[in-house]
Amino acid sequence: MGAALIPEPPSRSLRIYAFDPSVAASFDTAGIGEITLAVRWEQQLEPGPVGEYLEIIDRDPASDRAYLPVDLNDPHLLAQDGLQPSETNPLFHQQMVYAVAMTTIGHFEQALGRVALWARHRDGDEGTDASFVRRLRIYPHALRERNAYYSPSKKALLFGYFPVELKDANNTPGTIVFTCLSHDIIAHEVTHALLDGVHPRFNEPVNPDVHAFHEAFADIVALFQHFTYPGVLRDQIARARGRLGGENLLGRLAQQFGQSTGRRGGLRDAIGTVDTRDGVWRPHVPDPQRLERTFQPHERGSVLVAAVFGAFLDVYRARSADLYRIASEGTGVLRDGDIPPDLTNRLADEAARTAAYMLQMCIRGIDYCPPVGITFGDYLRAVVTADADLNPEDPYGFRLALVDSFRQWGIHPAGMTSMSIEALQWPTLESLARDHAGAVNMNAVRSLFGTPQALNMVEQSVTPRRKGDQAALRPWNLESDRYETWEGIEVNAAVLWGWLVQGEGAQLAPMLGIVLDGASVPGTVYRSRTLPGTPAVEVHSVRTALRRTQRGAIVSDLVVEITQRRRGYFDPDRQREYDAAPPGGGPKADFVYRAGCTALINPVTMEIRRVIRTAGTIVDDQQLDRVRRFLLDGGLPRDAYRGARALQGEDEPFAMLHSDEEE
Amino acid sequence: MATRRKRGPAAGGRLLPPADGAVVRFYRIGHGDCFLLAFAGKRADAPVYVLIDCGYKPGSPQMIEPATNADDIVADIVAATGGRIDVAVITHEHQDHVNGITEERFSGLEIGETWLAWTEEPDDPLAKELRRKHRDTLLGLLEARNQLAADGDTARVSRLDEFLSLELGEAPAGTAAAFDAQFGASANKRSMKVLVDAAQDGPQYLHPHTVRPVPRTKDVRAYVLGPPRDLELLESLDPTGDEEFHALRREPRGARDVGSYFAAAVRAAEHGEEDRRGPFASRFGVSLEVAIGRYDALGELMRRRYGKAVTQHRSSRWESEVPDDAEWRRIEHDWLRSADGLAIALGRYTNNSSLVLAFELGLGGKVLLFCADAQRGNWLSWADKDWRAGRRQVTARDLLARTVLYKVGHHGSHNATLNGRRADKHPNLDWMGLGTAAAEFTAMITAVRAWAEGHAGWDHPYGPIKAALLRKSQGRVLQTDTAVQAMQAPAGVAARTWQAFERRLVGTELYFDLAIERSELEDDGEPGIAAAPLPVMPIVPVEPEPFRRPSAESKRSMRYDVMEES
Repeated sequence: MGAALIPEPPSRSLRIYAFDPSVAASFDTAGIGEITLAVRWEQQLEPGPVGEYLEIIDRDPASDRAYLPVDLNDPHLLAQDGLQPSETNPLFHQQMVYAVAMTTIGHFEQALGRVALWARHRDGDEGTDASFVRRLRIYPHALRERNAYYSPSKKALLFGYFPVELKDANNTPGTIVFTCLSHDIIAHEVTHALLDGVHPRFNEPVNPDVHAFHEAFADIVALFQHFTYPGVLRDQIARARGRLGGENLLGRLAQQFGQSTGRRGGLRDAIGTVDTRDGVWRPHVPDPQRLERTFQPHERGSVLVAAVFGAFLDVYRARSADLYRIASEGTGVLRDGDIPPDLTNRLADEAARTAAYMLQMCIRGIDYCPPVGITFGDYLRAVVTADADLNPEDPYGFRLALVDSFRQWGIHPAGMTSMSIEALQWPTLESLARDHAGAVNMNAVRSLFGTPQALNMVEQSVTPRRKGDQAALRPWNLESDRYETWEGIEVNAAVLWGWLVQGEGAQLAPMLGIVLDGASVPGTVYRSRTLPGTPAVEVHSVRTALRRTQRGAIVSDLVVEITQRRRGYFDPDRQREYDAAPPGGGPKADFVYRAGCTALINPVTMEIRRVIRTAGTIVDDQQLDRVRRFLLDGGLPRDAYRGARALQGEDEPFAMLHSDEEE
Repeated sequence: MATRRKRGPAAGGRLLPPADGAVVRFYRIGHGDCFLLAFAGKRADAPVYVLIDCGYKPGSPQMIEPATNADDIVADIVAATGGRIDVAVITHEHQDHVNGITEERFSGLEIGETWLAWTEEPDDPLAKELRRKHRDTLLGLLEARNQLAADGDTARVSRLDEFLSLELGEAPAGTAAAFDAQFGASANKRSMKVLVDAAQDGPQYLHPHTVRPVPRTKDVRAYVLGPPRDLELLESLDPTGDEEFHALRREPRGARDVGSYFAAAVRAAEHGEEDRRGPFASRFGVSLEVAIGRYDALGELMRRRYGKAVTQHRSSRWESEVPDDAEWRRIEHDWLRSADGLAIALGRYTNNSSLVLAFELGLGGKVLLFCADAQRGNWLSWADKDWRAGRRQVTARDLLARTVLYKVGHHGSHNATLNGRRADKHPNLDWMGLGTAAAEFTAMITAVRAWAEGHAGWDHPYGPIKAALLRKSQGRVLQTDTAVQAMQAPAGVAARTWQAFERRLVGTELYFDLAIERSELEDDGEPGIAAAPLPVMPIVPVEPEPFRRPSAESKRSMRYDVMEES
């Protein structure tokens, strides 16, 4: 037919609720309640929808129903941008979760310059049998609950629905709120899943920032995604006369969900809140002490969101100042009344660009985080370093605005003597080596790329396992099937493991914060099964990160996460006892302490460009004690009947976290 | 330790308060509450007895060394009171507060009045509505439990059983029908009925921010602090909703209604009803059974990607890709997970409806604060209004400041003692025991740690709270499972201060007695204590200290978190 003549379309148009049904149902905002998204075209999209990245399975076990799947390739739907937004048609719900989730995935792929992969499924003990999860599964009606969460064990998003019980201006009792119709909740949950695909051990709560960071990051993605919808943005800019620091829909998250619980605004608001005492909306004022008294993950996370959003507003203000002057005969002060449409368009343009850049900056930062135990301060360093690596020049001052805003909110990395952008960047191996009064053995680094490594280890398995095989580091393949990309990661991780533990990389281990000398480490440190006596090393997710060279060329660095683990006991005396005992003895650990580093390696020049170490190495007793004290005393027991001990090893870590949302 | 008399359980003389004062007998009944208070009566030879709760978690008394039992304790109550209790108080309907009360054990006791919270009042419409919702949620939980049991999820079932037995007072009956019958006459309700029926002057339902004289005393008053009831909200909004219930208003709104929606689905599932009130019109979906048998897009999707049997459908050409219908990705029972959250919410709700009483020894005198299991929501409401006592206006701040005895909320759990500073607007531990009351301030924790931790996995008492109490009271913290002989003055506490405490304390295997003199601080001939304007350990100043930056771990939330080591 005409297939050869008509190229594949770049995108598929799909209608969604811009925010959620409540915004669409309000007369005031009806014009922006529904928007049409351009979602990447997937040739093989099956009813569900089931595509390359997602499978929407609409099973509702509480009602024992399986709902008919939407077929987005139906000519009737192709001709009218999908189904019309509707609360009562589950097929539209499927369409909306698909469209919003694909948009969020698109932002990740664009920012990171690589295909998105979901976390692997681990079978057997110690996850020795890994298998590839091609699609994230989405259940739009999984729960009868005021909740929605990402299930790491099922690699699935579960959305709930619940009846409204309040009766006020915003709510009708008996109507049902579907969390899968909230743009923000969908974007938030997909972000959790994407993050889990990048870092396998990232969500283990070992300090008060870990859960808070996950929530904040997911909120940041959902928030800035609002600014990518031009119609909504123009409308809100016109209403606010360009001033985005005031009360507006863009800075508000999950409005319907929030209203159904009696709030006036959204579930969370990045810009300000309604004061419960007098009902007046007030912008957030940076409070450098707030982190010291806020520990509920969502509340704590909102500090990070406010800091990032504050930086965005600063840059936007600076970038739009000239437009105000042009439009006001040089005074910068607009006359009363509506602003002209041309100005609205230009301002919306600036806001969209600023937000898009900010979003990419924030996403790119996740490649530059330590492998476990993230803190807000670490994240600041990560974002600043990632951005400086990709865009050495910073004409609009994004990095400066970010550092400044973080400082105002009291977020600073531990142990930094300077908050300058240059000082915040993670060190290179070169500079670390100099601090160790040594030099980097370049041959040791080069051997990673030249010397094939055996792939027969038990602990760093390659799937499918090929006993006796050898391989060298493989180039990253972006254009092939995602399975091959995934397999390449597995092989590369094994190669890296061989190089670091058995090959020449061992001499670099001290600088990477990895301890390999079995004689000097406590008995509680896990030992390798391949090399008895040597402390075990895990290599995770060898992936690529984009960087721009001095000449302007884009290169991909390899990102590697290396961790070690150690059994921790709540009782310090027992800890001392088993530390001194020979390896492998002792009862089951109360908790696991992990340490290690993330390293960025340039495959062209064969140098290790950035080394991002955890606060201590695996033998660091002080850091172990910090984790112990956090778990025992600050570990956020969620209710009066549960001890902190239940915290680690929960099968659905996000389920409780999200249902506690409002306390 | 020579000052401590040792008495066996059988010794059983009358419990006599010091002249004009009071004595509190803290029974070591297990993981639960049982207190006998004796106040000086109008007639010097006729003390007035108040019993507060009598219950324990089964299994916990055996984990006290040596084990106690409720029979001995009630026998002691009879002996100590001479067979008459003037006021019996039931703080709330939880097993660990009422299951010691049986007709048989209490047959030898006369009861004057029985005090209960307003939430128990039979004719109060709001209370009725709350009880109905409570019952619906319980029913839903039971059915969720049965479904989980059928699936073999024993861990979750035993966790749910722990909550259900708290609410019922006994293990839940297996089936829904049996449970329905059980509910109206659960062990908890039978226990409460014993005291309600026995009350010669009838049951009294107490409302917050009211004052009740303790009968036959000269001037002992009981101030009712909770459970809250917000009348303003009651008048202004939907009067049958749950939001006027203060505790719930500050907790997630409507959580309990979501609970009954959940419960409706569970019940329908159990009864095999075809229509479970799904959210969509029936043309949009069919049951899984039907779907899998269909030859259309839905059938294809569900067969291939969701599946039913254990067999795995593999469509990928890659060996290590997960099968399309992998069993571990299905969600058939995940929605029942809400049961956990609901059970917790339910327990918290009942705890928050605890009757909280502050007994005052004469106007402006010392205060004994009995918090039952009040958690955060209950605490927050105390300062909403003042009390009128005689001509005086009494504030929550004032009552807490005069507190010399604090019955720690909910076995010392993390959100049943609020943290804060004296300047804060919400009632908190720092409001308590100020000025001269500080020298006497004593805390009582009703917890058997070994049982709570080992059996139920509950962190009772929560370490940082106990540490804060120990610091505040200079070591005067009594705990059910800790014999007084094992208590020691913390380092830095003056020997005389500790001895003054020891003189007021009697410890046996069955109980601890703490005497509270009405005027000890002024007249005990020990000017050293009375004259000391501040206790030895300084109270945290009202103003934040400007020069001490809090360390990264120090937390100022309302919960107790990391405190300095102690």
